[in-house]
Amino acid sequence: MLEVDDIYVSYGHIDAVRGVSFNIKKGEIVTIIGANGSGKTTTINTISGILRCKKGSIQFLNKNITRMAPHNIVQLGLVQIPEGREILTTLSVRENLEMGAYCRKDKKRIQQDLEETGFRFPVLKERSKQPTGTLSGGEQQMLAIARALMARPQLLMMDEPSLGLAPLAVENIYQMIRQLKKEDITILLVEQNAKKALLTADRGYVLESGKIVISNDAANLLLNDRVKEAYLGAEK
Amino acid sequence: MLVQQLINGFALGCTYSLLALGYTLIFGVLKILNIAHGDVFMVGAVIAANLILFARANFLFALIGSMIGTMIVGILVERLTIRPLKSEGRPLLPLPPLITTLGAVWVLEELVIKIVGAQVQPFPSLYQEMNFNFGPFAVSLSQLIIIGVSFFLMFCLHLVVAKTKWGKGMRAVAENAKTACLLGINVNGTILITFAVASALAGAAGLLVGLSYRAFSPFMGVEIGLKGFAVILFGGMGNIWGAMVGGLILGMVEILSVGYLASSFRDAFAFGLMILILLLKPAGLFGSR
Repeated sequence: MLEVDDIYVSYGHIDAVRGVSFNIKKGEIVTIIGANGSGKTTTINTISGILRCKKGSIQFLNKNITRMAPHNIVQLGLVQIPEGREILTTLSVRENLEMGAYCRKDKKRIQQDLEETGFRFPVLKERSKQPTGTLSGGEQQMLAIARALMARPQLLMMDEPSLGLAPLAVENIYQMIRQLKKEDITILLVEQNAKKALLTADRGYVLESGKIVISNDAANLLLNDRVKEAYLGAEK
Repeated sequence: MLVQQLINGFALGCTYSLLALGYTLIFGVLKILNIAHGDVFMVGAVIAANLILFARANFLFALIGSMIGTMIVGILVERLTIRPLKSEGRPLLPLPPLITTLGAVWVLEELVIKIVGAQVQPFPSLYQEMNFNFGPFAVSLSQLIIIGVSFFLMFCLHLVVAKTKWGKGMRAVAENAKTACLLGINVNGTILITFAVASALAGAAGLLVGLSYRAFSPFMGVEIGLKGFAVILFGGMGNIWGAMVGGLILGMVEILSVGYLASSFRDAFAFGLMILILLLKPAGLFGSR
């Protein structure tokens, strides 16, 4: 479904991503784990079209999206839930959900989806008219996910969904992610919380300083010594 | 007497509001101040004057003509002076657009001077001025037109911002352009439309001011531009209500100070009041930043 081929991304003279290649097949959950500054968000933003890669190519559903404008990429079904949720606080919960469906044109089904998808989280349904500032971190994350689902994505990219959330909220979110997999939504999970990510994903890639250093099935990565030492807090 | 002054100020304030709305819309989505906006207003007056003089336009035709004309000028300003400054991945810094839009100011003014000359010229009249008396106070036809048209336009703007796709997209871009991108909003397209709408409002204001002052000149944009800019400062930058209400307040304060103090202190008093408000509430009356 998604093929990232040898991309190089820089901020001016700083090379953030140096030759990253990976792919995602339909129905998988793939995770990219790495420390702060390893290039995870840069990679995901490049796929979304917000940043441009100097070299390399990105294909989504067999279309070349390397130079495509971000809003067109979203229309193809590639939706990102950014780091830190980025809820629109000047809009109510309901309006945020409606904005998720911004690029869709089927008005009737959007209303239907609002009920099924958007309001599948009872908390969101309760607070639908409220401004989003009243939501807790975990609730905001649910809103961000619901909002992304409103776009009927083929591939959902989540940038650090557990960031800043209490352990219980993190567990809720990951339950939601597992549920989404059952509904056949392909997911790219970018995480610092390696343990949770690897327990949930099918396959994983480890990103260090802009390069992919290990790639394997998630189950194997959990047992990998280097991964255990660097990311899973194992003792030497 | 006081009520009469308030009426006069209210009418004057409407024109300030229309201009301030343009500034605030642009600031909302781009986080920059478009100095050329005052001159877009001036171009609106010039276009309207010429339409009336040479195309025998009536009010409606002149209004639509000047709004379309300024829409085009506004879009040109955006494409030529602001868009080229953006590079992806990096945010638009405030200083370069300030400089390029200042350049646009001079270009627009010089162009207009070449075409219509540098002097103040009489604005063609479309109606016989008359006063309507409501008991002890009088409202002139010009004032009625200004207030009527301004409120109609502001009402339309409110509807458009609240209900249309562009309006919602614009609010999203104004809050967070990157997230708006990720929601599938065409950010550049939205900015373009915002510029067009802001400029059209300025064009309408140009016609209204030209009609009521019965004069226009290539420099009429300078003072009102400054005042419109001051209005958004104290009304809250990026805040639409702030622009509407702030413009009305400035208009009334200005006229009241002329009426009750001295006309030579008109601007000093108005700006002084704004300084005071900003000292007490730095984000502006409705501001949140």
